[in-house]
Amino acid sequence: MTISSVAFQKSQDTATRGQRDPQLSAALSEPELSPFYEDQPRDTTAISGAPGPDYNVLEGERERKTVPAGHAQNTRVADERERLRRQDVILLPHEPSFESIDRPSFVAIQEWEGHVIDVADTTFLARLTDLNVGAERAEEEVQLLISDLSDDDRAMLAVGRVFRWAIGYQRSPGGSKRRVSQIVFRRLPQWTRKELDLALAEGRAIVREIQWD
Amino acid sequence: VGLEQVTGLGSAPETDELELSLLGPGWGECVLVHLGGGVWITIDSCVDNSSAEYRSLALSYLNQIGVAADQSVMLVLCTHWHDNHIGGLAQIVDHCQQADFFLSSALQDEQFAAMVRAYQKGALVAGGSGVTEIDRIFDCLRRSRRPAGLAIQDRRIFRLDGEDSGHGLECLVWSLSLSDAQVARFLAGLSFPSAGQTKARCHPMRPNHQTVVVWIEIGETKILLGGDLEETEEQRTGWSVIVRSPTRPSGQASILKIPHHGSQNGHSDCVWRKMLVQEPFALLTPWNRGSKLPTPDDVTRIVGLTPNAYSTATLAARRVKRRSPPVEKTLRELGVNVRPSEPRTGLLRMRKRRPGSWRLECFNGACHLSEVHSQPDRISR
Repeated sequence: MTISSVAFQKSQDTATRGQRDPQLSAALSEPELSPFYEDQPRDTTAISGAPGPDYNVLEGERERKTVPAGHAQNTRVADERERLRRQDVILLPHEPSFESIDRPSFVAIQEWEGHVIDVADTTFLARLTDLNVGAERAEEEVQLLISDLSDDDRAMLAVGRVFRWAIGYQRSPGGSKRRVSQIVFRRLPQWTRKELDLALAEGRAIVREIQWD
Repeated sequence: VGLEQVTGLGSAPETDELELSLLGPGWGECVLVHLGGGVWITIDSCVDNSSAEYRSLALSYLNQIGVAADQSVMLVLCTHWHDNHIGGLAQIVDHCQQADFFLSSALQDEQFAAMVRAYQKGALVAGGSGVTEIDRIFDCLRRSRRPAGLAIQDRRIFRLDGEDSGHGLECLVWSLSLSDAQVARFLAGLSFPSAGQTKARCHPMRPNHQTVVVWIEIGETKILLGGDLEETEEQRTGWSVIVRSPTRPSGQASILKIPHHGSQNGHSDCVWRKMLVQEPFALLTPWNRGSKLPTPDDVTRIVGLTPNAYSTATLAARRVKRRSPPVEKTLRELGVNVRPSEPRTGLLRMRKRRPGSWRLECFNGACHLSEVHSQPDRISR
């Protein structure tokens, strides 16, 4: 009998989204997952790395199992658990680290990028680009409630502002799962004086080089 | 069905036959006019929103009816820069090398060109910068070293001799705007970003002071193409400055491309009284961005002015894309409706031989304006 203890690292911190434990990547032989804030549709599983093994392996009488180290919270780990279960490996919850306590994971199943085209008293209107199908144009639109935005995002709401809207599953550290809709306004960089000076120079060049009739 | 899949478009008009076709809405709208003698002009541009490819519908349509656009299009005109009005125009400019190209005189401004570059280079979002098409056009003009004409108030921008027109009639194309005041208002409202400002998508300015209005004369036949011009109630801008102009070509048009999707703010009583015949053909492309245009009130107003009013498409809800059950369920729980942003792209085509009257054909959902809010399968033919 082999007994293994597993802890699943959760990540709610958007600053750490997109990082992935390299050992887990290798172990699962999967291509690198796209991070949540890249312009990539499809799988946006957030995985955060943390030092040290997460699988405590105890030797049983019949066999010894080695389990890849690393923190994980995507569905493929569930498959790994199932595989271990079939091989008579018992998975026991590992005492969670401090960081893992309040870090639910989020797996998006539908993502859009939106830009705001109108803001009313209680709602805003946005055009959406479906990132799941790799659309290049904003071909859909939606009216959303301003009250559904976080306070930070509400402060950013203005015509032209860009946001990500994802619908997916959030798993709590305890393993419970719920469907959520999550809107996050993108913190785009600011224009710099240098960029604008360059744009002005290019604007002058355009007007100079076109042969106006 | 995308417009490119529509059958039954037939062949090109005869050399002595006039054609005016209005395509849209998609990413833009487009007017194609066969002046005669195999000479075509295009105003603005449109990409079919049902198509996966970003391809100019004007070029596709001409190809479908057997017209070699690169040999036949002699004038390309851009009424204003909004991405959602001129989708694919750079392809037309690039493809139709023999054509004269004209655009709004306001777009010659360095500050505008700089604004385009700033937003285009700052584009960090899916769905584009909002200035992508005009940036492509500027790039095409720079590379090709082709001259770009400026459309200003009451300027004759194209002429086709009667000898070359196939029907013996001289054809003239005029720009009726922009006035000096319109250019000044446009430049004053430019939204060049400032340092420290968060990057965002470029958003069109309102009201639209920079639309070129076009007047076409083919013998006694006059056509007024209203672009997206809005009325401002100001004597020196909007429609007022056009109607009041002492230097505009005289006459009354029998076809109107209704400005600004039939909205109340694009309407001018003076235009209908002074620049149009009684009960002209009035054509529009509808708009479905939040508030739909034309509204039922707009339809009542326009149909009250002429029974010959038509739309390239209905505003009925397009089929909503099906998504996975959990996504559908979440949307239902949220009470939100993610819907296609534009109606299906349609085509209104009018042809006329001399002597004769206009013959109108509706393709791919185009309909009488009174049916613009109906479901497509309930439209009478």
